[in-house]
Amino acid sequence: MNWEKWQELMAVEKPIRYVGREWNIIQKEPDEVRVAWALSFPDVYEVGMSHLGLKILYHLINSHPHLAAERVFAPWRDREQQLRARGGLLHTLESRRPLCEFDIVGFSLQHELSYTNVLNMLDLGGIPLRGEERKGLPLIVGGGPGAFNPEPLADFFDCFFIGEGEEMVEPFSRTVARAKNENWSRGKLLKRLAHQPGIYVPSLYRAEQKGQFFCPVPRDNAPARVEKQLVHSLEESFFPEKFVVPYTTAVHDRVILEVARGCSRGCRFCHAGMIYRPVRERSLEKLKEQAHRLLRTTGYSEISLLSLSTTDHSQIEDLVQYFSGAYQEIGVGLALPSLRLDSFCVELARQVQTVRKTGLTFAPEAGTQRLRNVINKGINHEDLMEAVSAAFRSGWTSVKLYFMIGLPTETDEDVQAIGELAREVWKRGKETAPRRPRITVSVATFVPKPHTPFQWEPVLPLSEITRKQKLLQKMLRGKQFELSWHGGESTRLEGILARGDRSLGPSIYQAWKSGARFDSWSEEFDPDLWSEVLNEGGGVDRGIALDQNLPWDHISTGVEKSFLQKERHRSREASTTADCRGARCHGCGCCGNLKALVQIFGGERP
Amino acid sequence: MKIRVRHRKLGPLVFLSQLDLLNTMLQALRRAGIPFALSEGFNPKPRISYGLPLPVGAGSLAEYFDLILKEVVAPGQLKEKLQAQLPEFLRVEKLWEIADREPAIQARVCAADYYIWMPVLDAGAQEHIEDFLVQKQWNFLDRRGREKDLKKLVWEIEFLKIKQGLAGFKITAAAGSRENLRPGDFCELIKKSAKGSIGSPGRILRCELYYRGSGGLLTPFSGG
Repeated sequence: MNWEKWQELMAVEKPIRYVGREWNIIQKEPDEVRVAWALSFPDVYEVGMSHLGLKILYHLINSHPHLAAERVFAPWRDREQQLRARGGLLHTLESRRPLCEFDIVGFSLQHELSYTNVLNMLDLGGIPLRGEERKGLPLIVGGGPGAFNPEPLADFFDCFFIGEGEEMVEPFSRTVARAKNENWSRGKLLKRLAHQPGIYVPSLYRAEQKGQFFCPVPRDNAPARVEKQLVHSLEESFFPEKFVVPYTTAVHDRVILEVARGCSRGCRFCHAGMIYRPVRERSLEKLKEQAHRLLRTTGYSEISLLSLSTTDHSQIEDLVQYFSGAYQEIGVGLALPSLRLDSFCVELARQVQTVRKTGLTFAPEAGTQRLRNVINKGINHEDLMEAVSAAFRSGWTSVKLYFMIGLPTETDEDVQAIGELAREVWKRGKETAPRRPRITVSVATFVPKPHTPFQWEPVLPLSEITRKQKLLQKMLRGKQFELSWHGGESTRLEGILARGDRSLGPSIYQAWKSGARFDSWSEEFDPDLWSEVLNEGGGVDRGIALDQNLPWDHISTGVEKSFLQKERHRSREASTTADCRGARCHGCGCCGNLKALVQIFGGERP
Repeated sequence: MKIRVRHRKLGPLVFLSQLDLLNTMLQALRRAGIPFALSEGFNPKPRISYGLPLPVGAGSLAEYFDLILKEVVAPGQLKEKLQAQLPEFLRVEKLWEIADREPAIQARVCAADYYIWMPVLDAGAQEHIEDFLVQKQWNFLDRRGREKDLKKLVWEIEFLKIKQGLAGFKITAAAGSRENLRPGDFCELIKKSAKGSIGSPGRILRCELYYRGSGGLLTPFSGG
């Protein structure tokens, strides 16, 4: 490494972020590659390298002899300054070519607060920000949860992938390869792509004002609706045999097994629960094979079972039993994420022998039964108390509880009930735990997300967020409690961007131009900058009328709008809707619309 | 069975922290299927210990670690197996068996060789360095605010002249748990003494570690 390069990296925080050359990376000869993807993750290296979707797409694309996928992450501010100072371009970690030299630059849109980083990466990569300013390739494409309301980013992207990328990257690449071969114009290529399943090309839609929103209307014969694409059988779908192994600690340094996709518990606030339907499991047999191979190729010492609700897997007991024992001898342990709130799950956690008893996390979400029914969080007070008792009896002394404030119909009583519940849990711990218990209460503010039954709800005004947080602070004084929350301003921004329309494009651009980066990092987020560029706060304080046209109406998750309306109505009656896996079908429309099936392996679900 | 490994740490991998290096090595050992022993207890850990931590940004031709295996294996095969799972920048130089009662390398290290290069900013550098080298004491205020005489820690020093805008030094200095020269401290001191003629950071390459033996300094592979 030459002196200049060494000196430059010595001057930045965590230089290893920019080094690349990790174990299992794939580097192809440029002349063998017909279509080259730059998979772009708009957050720092460590965060991006923990993301399973990126691993899947990287290895899937690279499994094709004529396709290549390389990785690029958002440079931290110090690195950005270096690049700008010397006029360097943001490049991938593999071939170190700048983004503008790729055929496709694909962004993973995991949350709304990453949007200024997307713009920054395009700019640093030598790519004009607005689609209409670009000529030829690369195409800028976006996928992930954020793509389900693509309108705020419509000015900057050529295409969005609606749904699970595995199904779309191959046909998409084939069309791009053909366009390159036959020298199609950019316009012709985009028109073709717009007719491929799951691909939304925003420039072929005119944003027309309908009530309070600008809503896309198709031009040039573009499809009126874009239907989500999905993997029909997770069991048969592609899963990498290798993971790229970062040199530095990523957020998740382990073999990640995706045990299931989708969740049909039906929590009414939950975006993921609506957009990833239906539930598709992977079998224990398949997971065993994948774990075996991945442990050999990565050298990791931990396995993690990932899904939206892992403990709902129909073979969860067998999974836990097998993976907590199978590799014990070589020091490989099992990590169980998110536990469902019942004593069955505490028993599972107890079985995972390598778990250090550092803490268990539960998510009651709301303090009162009434409000839990409103949001369809199907747990009751007894379940909760039994679960924490079981945890304390088994030796855990630290319990973390997740709640939300600002949920529809919430009153001060509901907020106070959060405090009371935390106190009750602490009291139970004092009676049963081996040592003095410690209760962490994490309070998020509800953000209404598109495609959910709560998509019409308002966001709490800032003054109310602060007042309710203070209310809890007063109730949970003392060393036994640790109270944490997100800043109200960034939550509200998330709300604005999540349900925004095309008119937000200039504001996002202006925020980036004024220096907004890493908005999801609380110490980087600048509320004044954003309030400057967003006049009127985007109207998030008001709810949306049920009959109002929505900017994401043309994007179909498979779940019918009428179902969302019905669920919203039921929420006002505090009526719950059971998980369709165990009970009857509630007619959300997903399976029929997507010609998909719920896929469950085990027998009776516990 | 106990083995000792000597490997390089070069190129872009000089930016690995000591913890990153340890994790990377453990992953390679696991991929290679090398049967290392685990500690007893609730949270079993591999029984590995590195010689002497290296600052981030510094390279090395001589990183050493000791590892306890749970079964007897031919060391020759191990070297190849491990090498096959490591990037070229962490090339294994030597791998050999050591006596079970051989103390951990960490406990015995007393000195290290370093090459150090510092960026030269103006023509005054040569003279400043020559003045510096003949000073009786090299007083330095360390990070914790303690004054130390670095001259006592530097056993040998050779000024390699100024080439391509870099002033080079080869030093043998105290290293280990009892007395230790932080090479970064040495760079800072030279920079200060040169009154603006020399810049930072200094680039460091470690070339060897030493034990104190009956006949003088021994390398970790000269045995007990």
